[in-house]
Amino acid sequence: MFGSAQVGDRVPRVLILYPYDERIPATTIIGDSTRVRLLEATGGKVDLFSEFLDLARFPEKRHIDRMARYLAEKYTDRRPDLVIALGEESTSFILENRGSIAPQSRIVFGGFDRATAARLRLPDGVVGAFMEFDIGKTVEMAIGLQSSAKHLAVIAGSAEFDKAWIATARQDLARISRNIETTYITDLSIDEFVERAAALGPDTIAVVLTVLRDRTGRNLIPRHSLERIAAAAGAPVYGPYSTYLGHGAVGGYVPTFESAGAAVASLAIDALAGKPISDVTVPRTYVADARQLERWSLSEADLPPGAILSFKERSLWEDYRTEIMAISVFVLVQSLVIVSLVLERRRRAAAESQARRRLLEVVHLNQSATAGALSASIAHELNQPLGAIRINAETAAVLLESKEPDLKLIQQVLADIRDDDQRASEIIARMRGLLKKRGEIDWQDFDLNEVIQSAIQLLHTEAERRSVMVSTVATEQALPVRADRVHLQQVILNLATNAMDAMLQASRRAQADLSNGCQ
Amino acid sequence: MRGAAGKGNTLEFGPRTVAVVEDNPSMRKSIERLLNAHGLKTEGYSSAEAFLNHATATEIDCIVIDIHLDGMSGIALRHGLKTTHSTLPVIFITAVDDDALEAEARGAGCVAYLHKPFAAASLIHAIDKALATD
Repeated sequence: MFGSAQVGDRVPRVLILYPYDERIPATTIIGDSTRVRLLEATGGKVDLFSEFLDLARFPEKRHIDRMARYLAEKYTDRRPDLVIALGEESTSFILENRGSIAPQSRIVFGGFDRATAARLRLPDGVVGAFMEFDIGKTVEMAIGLQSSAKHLAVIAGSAEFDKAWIATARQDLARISRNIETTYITDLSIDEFVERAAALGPDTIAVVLTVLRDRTGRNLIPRHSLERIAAAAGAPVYGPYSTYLGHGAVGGYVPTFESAGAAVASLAIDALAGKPISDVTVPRTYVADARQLERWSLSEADLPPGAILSFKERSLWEDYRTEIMAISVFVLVQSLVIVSLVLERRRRAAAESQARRRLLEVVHLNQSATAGALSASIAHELNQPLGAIRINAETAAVLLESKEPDLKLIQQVLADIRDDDQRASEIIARMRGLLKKRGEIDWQDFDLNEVIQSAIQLLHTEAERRSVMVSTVATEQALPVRADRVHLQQVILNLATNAMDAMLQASRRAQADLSNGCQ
Repeated sequence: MRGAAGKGNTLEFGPRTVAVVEDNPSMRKSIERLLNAHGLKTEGYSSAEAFLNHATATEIDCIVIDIHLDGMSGIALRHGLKTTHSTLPVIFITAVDDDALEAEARGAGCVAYLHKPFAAASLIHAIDKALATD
């Protein structure tokens, strides 16, 4: 693509003109950025030349002419195909000396605004990347950060460039400072600027435009001026240049010099390729220095949207705030859910075990109460075999006393004693089951009819004592249930006992009918 | 009063007969065997109804009644006997310790009221007494 840009069998020559010396960051950043882009785009097939005109320190016509003659001589055998002029002074210089230095070349410029371009009265075909500064937006950003600011101090030096800046600022800031009192601090020595800045209160917004030269005629690098002023300032200092960032400025609305260099390089590449080119504007952005925000206790949240925050020691938290928060919230919610589930489960388990314990206590109390009520039955049941045993034992003794003891009969008597003893044991075992305090429910499968029958048997004596007839009607088919046999027996005994209690005042031939609902 | 002296000779009139109305089989069996061992004839019945249906009242000299019987109770049987065999001596036996019941039973009339388990001697003594007053 770039092949067509080659002139004959050689690579194209590009001359980059720097207006000042090599220490001025603004122009060197644009120049470096331009060089890098050009070398990238051509794959290194380009001859790059750099000239530092040093016009800030040598602004005299004599120097300019000498410089023009020198360059015309220097490039006699290697005329540039393209001249890139950085800044107003370089552009002005090449336009005046174009014929002697680079008569056939295209000219691309960058690093100044349209107002300056209009003043220069650029001829057709000279195209560039405009750096538009909007000091109003820088102040707006400052007001956003310092909402309680009462004063605005605008600082600029004594160079022509500085003075032009002040004029532009006066125009731009007229619309802004409604509730803010604006002061222009200019025409002072650098030390005086520092002094004045130190005297500013924190309710002031300080804006440093440029101090290229002070009242005493001392030439300065604007970034160094800004650095000295900002270091001593009693108020936050803002500026319109990205180069101020990292040297004491809080920030501003700036076109970055890197993007200016990129824009200039794009124009140069297209020009070398013979493509039509036209003016562009370097994109601008809000920039801020995190360290300065911290120094002045300003909030990052008050920055305009899209602002680029530099020099921030970013923590993991800041880099992954959303993710960390989302994960934290998730973990928190999950933990809460787990904890609540565990608590719920524990509470339920506790409630269940308490309920079961209460139930068993009640069952046991019932058992005891029933036991009291059924003591007659218990006595009756036990006294039957006991009575038989005693009589049998004494009968045996009588039989043994006779002259010819009927041993066979005695044997029978002893067998009956053994059987009755067995019966007594069974009764006691049954009672123990009924009266024992139980810790667990003993699930069993059995026929409901059986349990009813055994309960009624227990109740029999008591019922008779109260002259109550108990009749049961069992179902024809078995009623298989799964329950605690003793508890169920308890229920039936309670129902029957309650029924008998209720009939205490009723007729003596009362009848308690016990039939289950399954019939 | 027939008096022990008149009918006292068991050889002359044959052995005396005691009816045992008791629903508990082993209890009934043991009582009968005890009385047999003492030379008495016995007739066992498992309920008041069975006694009323089968017993020949004239052949019975004494009756031992368990108060707690299935169906008609021992006391009810005693009341029934009062009208037909007013002089038949009755001995109540019971496995239940209940003062009210005892009072009711004694009120109905009896030679003795025995709590199971009772000593064999106390039953024999009661029967001797019943037969003597017979």
